[in-house]
Amino acid sequence: MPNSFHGIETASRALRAFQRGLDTTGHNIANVNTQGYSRQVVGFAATTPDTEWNRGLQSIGSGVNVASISRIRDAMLESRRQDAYSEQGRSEGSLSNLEKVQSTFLDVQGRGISNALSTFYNAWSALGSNPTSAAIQLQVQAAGRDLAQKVSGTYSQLKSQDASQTDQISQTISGIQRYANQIGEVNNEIRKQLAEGGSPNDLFDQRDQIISDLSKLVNVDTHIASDGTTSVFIGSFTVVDQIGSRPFPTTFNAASSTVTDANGTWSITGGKLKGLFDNSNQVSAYRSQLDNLANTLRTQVNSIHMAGYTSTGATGQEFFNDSIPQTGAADFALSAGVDASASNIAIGSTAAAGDGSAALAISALRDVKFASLTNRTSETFFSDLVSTVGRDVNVARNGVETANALSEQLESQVQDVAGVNLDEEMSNMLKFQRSYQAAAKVLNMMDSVMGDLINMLR
Amino acid sequence: MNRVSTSYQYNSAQSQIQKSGNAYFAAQRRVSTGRRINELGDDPTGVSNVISMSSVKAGLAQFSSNLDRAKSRFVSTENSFTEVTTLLNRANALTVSGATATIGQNERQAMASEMTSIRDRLVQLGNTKDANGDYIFSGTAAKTLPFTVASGVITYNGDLGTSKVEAAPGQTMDLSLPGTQTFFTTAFDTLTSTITALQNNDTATLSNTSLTNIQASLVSSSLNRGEIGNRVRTVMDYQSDQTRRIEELTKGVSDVTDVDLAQAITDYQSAQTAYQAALQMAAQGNKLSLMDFIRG
Repeated sequence: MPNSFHGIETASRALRAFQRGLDTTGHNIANVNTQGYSRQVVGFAATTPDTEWNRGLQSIGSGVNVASISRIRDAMLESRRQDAYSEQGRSEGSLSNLEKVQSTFLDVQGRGISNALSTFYNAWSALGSNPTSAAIQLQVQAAGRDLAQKVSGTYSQLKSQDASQTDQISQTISGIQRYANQIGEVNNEIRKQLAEGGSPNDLFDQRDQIISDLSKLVNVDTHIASDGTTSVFIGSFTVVDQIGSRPFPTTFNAASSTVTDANGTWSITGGKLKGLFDNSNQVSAYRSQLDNLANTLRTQVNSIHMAGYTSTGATGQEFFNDSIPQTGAADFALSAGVDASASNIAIGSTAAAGDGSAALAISALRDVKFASLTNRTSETFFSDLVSTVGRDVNVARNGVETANALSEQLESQVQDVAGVNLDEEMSNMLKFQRSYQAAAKVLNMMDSVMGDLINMLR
Repeated sequence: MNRVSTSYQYNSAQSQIQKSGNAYFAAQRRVSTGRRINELGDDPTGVSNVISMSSVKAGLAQFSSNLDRAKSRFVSTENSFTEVTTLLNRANALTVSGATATIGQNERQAMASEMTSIRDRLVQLGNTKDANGDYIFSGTAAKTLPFTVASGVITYNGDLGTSKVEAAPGQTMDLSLPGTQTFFTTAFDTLTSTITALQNNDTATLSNTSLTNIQASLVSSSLNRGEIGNRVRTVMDYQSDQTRRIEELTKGVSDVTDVDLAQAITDYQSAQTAYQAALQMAAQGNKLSLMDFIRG
């Protein structure tokens, strides 16, 4: 014999269940703008029927219950999005610095090293063709100084770029550590709540969001253990395991794209960290090209200059400063003598005033392909460097564009599944509201039926 | 039919605005600067071409300016030889009449003194300076007075080298003519012996050796003038070639760096339309919502 209040209980269970539905809808609406939030749905299930003997076994439904509140997501899409984020982080890390590098080369505006080089050779041509002109000696001095300053100035800008890159790398590494620590903490909380039988959907979302953020910084692989914790791997390095986060190595080597700690050396293959490593390698390559150019100019110009004679008959003077070993672009400058006075510039291969042959020989260096510049002229060598920088910028720009498009596309797919749609929530709200009202009517009706019964006995 | 997340709808509108905004500003920059390449990354190959074209162009301009110096030097040289030729012609005429038996001694003395001023002028011409104050006929010893005369004997103080100008990559042009020091000393010696012959009434020498030698110097002087004329023409050829190539390179550089304005403005307008559309979409696109239809 079923309980007389069976109907009332059924109705009140329904009221509770629809209340949960409304609550969840409210939660979804509240989180419509929350980064990384996955919409949640209430899974309703009919409760176990009451069974009674009434000329045979009969089951009567007992209403509804909330079986689950789960988040809607597509793990496959999210893992692809994670990879896209790593690529996006890598290309953006690489581009932001290259944009700064390209602006140190003023060759597009006609004020760069290429101009200074051409002016330098032209000044020597003018001097060789007009060896007795003191004005042109000054012109050669000014052109030499300008060239040396532009080369060393560009070098020092690249060098300071390097320092800021090292800062960025360190910041990125500490960012990785911070995220790893957060994942470790959320893991602990999740394990606790799962052990107590809960379904901490919002913590799952939070963890997924942190992993997304982490994958922008570095290449990430994850594995979910049976206790609900997520282990995080960066290449073969385990940065978070079931126990918690581990210290990520802070020693790095950009050239080999690795980080190192007491236990070993680990390769970095993605994310902003990889982008910064790549970038740092590119910038050092540019710098060594400038070193090469400066040293070649020193050797070649000086060897002619030292054999030549100045307008006062002196010989054996350097034009550019030089030393053994050569010091590259950093301190590239005129020699002290030439810097002090243009009269220390060698003009002829003899002391004769009208002999401009030394100057003409230096002017002719313009078309000499130097072995030290891999058989290119100084001008070609530099213009190749400039176009390498431009190409690197171009490649990085395209990389960013592609990576952005891909991650945007995946983000859109992820959001199509997991994101909150207000229209949908509104219609769910109406649905639950109406259901709630109907259940309340049932309760009301049950109450009045019982009331009729009780009044009858009066 | 896919469901769409509401916040993503706004985010994607935002990123559309950003994208079309960037394209709009880039198009605007191309129009306002008139340049197609504003950064290395805009066209790396183009930048490298422009660098090499600009360098070749600057080199050509320099060679042309070097040749200007050669030209002015050649003009000075030519003027000197023109005057030398005039002088030698006069000396020739004097010698011819001095060799005539009917001429008296007094007249020969007068001729000798005119011949002496011709010889002095010849030395002066041998010591001609160019616009820079360099001696034209002293080889590479540009600041050394080439010819000095002491007790009637001429000495060449210059050297046998020659100043050069760079006329083209790897090509130089000599500023001096070969053998000018021999020409001037020989002419000087010829005039000296002619003066002596005039003073001594030595008509035999005048009609033979003197005349032959003066005429030899005249021929040599004309040859030098001819050679200088050739060089001036070579300079002009070089320069007109350089001017033509500079023009070509200027056009080449502009083809790479400058925008095609008609194209740029069209691009600018279409970028503007796209940007406007994105903005309008964001302002109106999300007007429809179930919320507007639920009362209460």
